[in-house]
Amino acid sequence: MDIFKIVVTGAYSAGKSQFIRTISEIEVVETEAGVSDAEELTLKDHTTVALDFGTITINPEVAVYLFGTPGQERFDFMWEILSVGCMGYVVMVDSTRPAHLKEAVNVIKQFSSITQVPFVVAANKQDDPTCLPIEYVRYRLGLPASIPVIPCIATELESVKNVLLTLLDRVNELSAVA
Amino acid sequence: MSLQGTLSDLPLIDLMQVLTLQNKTGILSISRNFSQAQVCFTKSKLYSAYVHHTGQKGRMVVRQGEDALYDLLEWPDGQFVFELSPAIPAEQNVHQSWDFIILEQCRREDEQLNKQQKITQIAHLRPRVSANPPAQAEITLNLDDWQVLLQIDGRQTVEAIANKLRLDLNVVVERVQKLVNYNLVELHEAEPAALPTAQGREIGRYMQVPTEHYQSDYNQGAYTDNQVNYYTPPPPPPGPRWVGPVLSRELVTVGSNESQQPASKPKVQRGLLSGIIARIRGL
Repeated sequence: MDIFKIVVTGAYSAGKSQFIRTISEIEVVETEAGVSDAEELTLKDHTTVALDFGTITINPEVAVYLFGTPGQERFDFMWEILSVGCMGYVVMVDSTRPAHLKEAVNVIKQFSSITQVPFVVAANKQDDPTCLPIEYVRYRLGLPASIPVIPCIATELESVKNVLLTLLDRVNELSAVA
Repeated sequence: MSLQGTLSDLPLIDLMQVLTLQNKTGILSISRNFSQAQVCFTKSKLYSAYVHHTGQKGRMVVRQGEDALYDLLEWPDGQFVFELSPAIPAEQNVHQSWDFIILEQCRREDEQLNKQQKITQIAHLRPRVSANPPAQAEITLNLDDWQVLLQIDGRQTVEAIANKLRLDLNVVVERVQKLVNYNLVELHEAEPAALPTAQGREIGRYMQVPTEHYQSDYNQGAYTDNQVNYYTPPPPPPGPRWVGPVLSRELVTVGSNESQQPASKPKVQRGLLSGIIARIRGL
């Protein structure tokens, strides 16, 4: 069976788990734990500590595996493990929190040093009236126009599909095709 | 309720994000080396901020209000404690939201980066006396400007002039830019084929210099720019706004896999990839 692996990464509380949950065919395998820190409880009450796992079956012989990385930096040792062999990755960004964008820059920086595969940025929570505009997100992340920054609502299937299709287009465009 | 830890474990950006999301009134105290900071919240809204420094002369406030918060954002580490407290200082000195502070800090960082890039760029250029000096006869330079102008010979770079004068490069760049704005000086990459006949000293032919102020006052350290009536040229036309990337070009290139390390590119069968795209499209 051919397995294609896509990693969904991003800083804490960006919406990675929800992204996978929305598109996965199977009940997502989650390794979540209750948030112990009082300060982080205000953002969410559970957080991924190892990985999220979802699948999309292409045909009986081919499947896409989606891996979500833990967002908290204390678990960043998992990033390298999860990125092995991936065809591309999605960087989730919470576009309602300006402070989050600085963390996202670090995530992109770290992930770029781990793997060379193509990536796209999903500016999540675009349904929130306080969200930052896409071009501002791109500007703050310091990304050139060639890197797609896609508006995303992780709870909506069409939006998640759009992000993945953009990533696959980019893989198609940039990767060595056999 | 008391929350404590270190900024290395929980960066200030995260910490403030959390505190501004809660409906709490209290004081966040942060200490680092000889500096202490206090940020007060009323019902999660920033109310006041102070940075103190404890030195030989005792404890003194070195920053307050938004400036204190910008200062705090530069602290890489420190111990923090947040305590609920109904009693907070009476004077409100923070009037912006935390999100605004973050955006403004980012803008300042960008400006600083932009400035540094410009300085690096100008440092390697060779200022030369303008071939078309300004028509105005009322340009007045201060002694500091003259100090730089007299060194301009078309051969030395701005950096070399700064070294020669033992001045900070930023200061010399600023003065050179002022001279350029006056159209007294042009910046070139290469040395002139032949030295211009008019060097910096000869610019005095068409300029009025307030020499009556200079020597004695300057020697006594009493000279200030206020003593000179400047000719203020019209501001230069606004150039394109710099929107440089936060990430280096190398990083983005590597991350986007656009040019380098072809050996690491994943091998994807075209047919399979098309199948995956079609399947996801049909979900």
